[in-house]
Amino acid sequence: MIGRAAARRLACALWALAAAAPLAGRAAEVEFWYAHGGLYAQAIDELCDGFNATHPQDHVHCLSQGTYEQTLRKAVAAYRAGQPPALVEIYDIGTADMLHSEAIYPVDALMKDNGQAVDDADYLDGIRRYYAAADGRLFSQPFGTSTLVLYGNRGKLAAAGIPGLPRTWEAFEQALRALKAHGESCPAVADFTPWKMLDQVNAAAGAPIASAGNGRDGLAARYAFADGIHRRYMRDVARWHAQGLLLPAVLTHAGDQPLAFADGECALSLDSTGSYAIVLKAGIVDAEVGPLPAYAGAARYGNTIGGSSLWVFKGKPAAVYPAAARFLAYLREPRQQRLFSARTGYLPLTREAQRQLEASPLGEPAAIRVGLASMALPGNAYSAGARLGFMSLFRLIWQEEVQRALAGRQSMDDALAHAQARGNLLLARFQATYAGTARSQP
Amino acid sequence: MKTSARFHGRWMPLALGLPQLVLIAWFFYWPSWKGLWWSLHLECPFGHCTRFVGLDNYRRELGDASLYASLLSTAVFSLCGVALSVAAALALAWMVEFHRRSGKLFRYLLIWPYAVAGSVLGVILRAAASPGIGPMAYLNRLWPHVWQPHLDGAQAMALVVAAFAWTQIPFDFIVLVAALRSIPADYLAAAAIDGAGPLRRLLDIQIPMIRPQLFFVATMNLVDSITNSFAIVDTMTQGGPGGATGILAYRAYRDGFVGLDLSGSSALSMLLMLLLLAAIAAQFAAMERRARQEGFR
Repeated sequence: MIGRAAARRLACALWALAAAAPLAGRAAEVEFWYAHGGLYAQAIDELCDGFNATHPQDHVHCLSQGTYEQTLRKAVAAYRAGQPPALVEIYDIGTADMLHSEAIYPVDALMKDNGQAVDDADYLDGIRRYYAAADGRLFSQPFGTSTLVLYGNRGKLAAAGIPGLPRTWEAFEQALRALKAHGESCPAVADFTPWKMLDQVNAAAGAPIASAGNGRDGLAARYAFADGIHRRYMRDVARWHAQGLLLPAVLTHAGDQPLAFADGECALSLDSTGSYAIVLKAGIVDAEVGPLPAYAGAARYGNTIGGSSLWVFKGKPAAVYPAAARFLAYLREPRQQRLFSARTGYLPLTREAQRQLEASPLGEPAAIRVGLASMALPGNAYSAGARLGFMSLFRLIWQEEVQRALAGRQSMDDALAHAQARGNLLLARFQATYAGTARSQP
Repeated sequence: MKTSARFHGRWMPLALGLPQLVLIAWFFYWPSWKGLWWSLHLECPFGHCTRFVGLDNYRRELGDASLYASLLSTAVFSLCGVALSVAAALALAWMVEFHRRSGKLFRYLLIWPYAVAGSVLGVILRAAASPGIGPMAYLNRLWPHVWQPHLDGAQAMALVVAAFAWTQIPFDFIVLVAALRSIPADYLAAAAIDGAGPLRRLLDIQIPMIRPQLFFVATMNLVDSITNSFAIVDTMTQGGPGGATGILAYRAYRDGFVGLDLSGSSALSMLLMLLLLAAIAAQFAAMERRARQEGFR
């Protein structure tokens, strides 16, 4: 292991030397770390190639760093070692860490300093709401953005006598029963992740995840989901699971939620708009997309989003920043947004891009149309989504407790109470960690 | 001409040992020191705020009920994993030694799996043991719900123990084959003439004579199971279901690398190091006591 690590270090040093050599002749080299693979990485590489082809004075090196977690971890390590990339893609739940890091060059300031006019009001409301700091400023540029929609297999639904996609959870349960009675082995599939089952369901119901405006009003926020709409929903989920109506993705042939729907095994799936690329690629013709259901009679608020935004590290040579600003401006062009949306199922970010996508000959892909419509519903104080510390660990705790409930080792009510209590210990520690720093208000 | 194997002077031996010392300092002492430092502070991921909190991080981790569940899984995982690896390797080595003619071929075949990395193995076994596809899914069709490692903690634990043993068996096998080889054939031949069957010879002659090597592989396996097995858990179960396979090494990895909780993860690592030292000390003490007793007999 030691030998391999040392060899890698040597290779890095050589690479850095080789990369530094042509610097003298060119204007600026910008390193951009992104956090995707497969289809999504191809789309990002295409954006990078397009930028490099049209901006001969700049060169952006786009490097995939693995998953969202790995990219954040590597960015932290690189920053601590004094070698951060200029641009990095960080996932939604890393936003609090980045805002508190004192390591970033706020994107709004970067664009202003480099003469790139950005109209923040052009961002779609749900997206701006999610990433804006308490004073409304955007410290990062939204990038891959998705929201939750309901995918249905039209053929299977029609065969079971269900006229359309269910709009309420009550109708959803009836549909599951009808599908099961019709002999479907997998009426619906889920991977039991909290982004889908907690963040989105609560946002759509306008219900809090945490106090202090879901954590947006300061570090004193604590979790507050264990006895509201979330408990009602998770009791339903536990019942559906126990009765074989909602299958864990691991039990399907594909072993993965988006694929289990895309390969036609499962009839219903609550999944990200970003999975639309996989559904399209699988060539499923019967896919129908509808909004996330709500409980009958309850008010339906706007969905929240998930995904990532682009952050700029400070402390790079001055020549890097104008080029980084040009690259960010390029990514924000409606044309590039459309290209990225069409390839991936991620949402367009600005009104202008949305208008253009609607007007294009093919129209908006179904998942994007439905996702944008769900986000455009009126919001309340909790629709912006949560901004809390140690959220990645909290999500693992939530999954751990919910798994124990699904296995019958504790009740779902206890699971949520435990997850809330353990989550609150994390929040208290996050508060203590950042208590003395300049930006103790996000 | 001097025949002594010792280098004279002070600087020459030091210079020869320096590369190794530098590597150890760089890859062991420095990170350990950093871990100890972080475990006594509340440390921000990006390093701009560091606050000394004394033993608070330890107090918090030790007060967390899930730590004890994790310790229990660590104990189950390590003991079962070590027992299974050593027993399986010994059985294989014994069979190879017993049948020397075909043994040579099997000796090479059985060493191969050593080249497979833990995480690769995890991916392969996860597919092989999936309750939805593969051979185990067939069992589920015969008897519904009989194999569900995504819900049943004991099954998930059996899975990671098996995967761990798989990674350890080749090394143990090499050592134990060599150990069995070193036993003079006369002893075994003499016992055979006295009418001792293969099993009797194994229990009364071979195992007692290779005890030091058994002890050595068990110690190596134990160290590996406690410190180096998070890759298997990460790729196969992510500590689930419901924390059932959340061994201490995996928790330290997860808190630090996924959660960016440098302080808590460092405190856990320090506890892990203490645990490991205690386990090895106990193992050595037990071994020495036995050696002494046998010496007096």
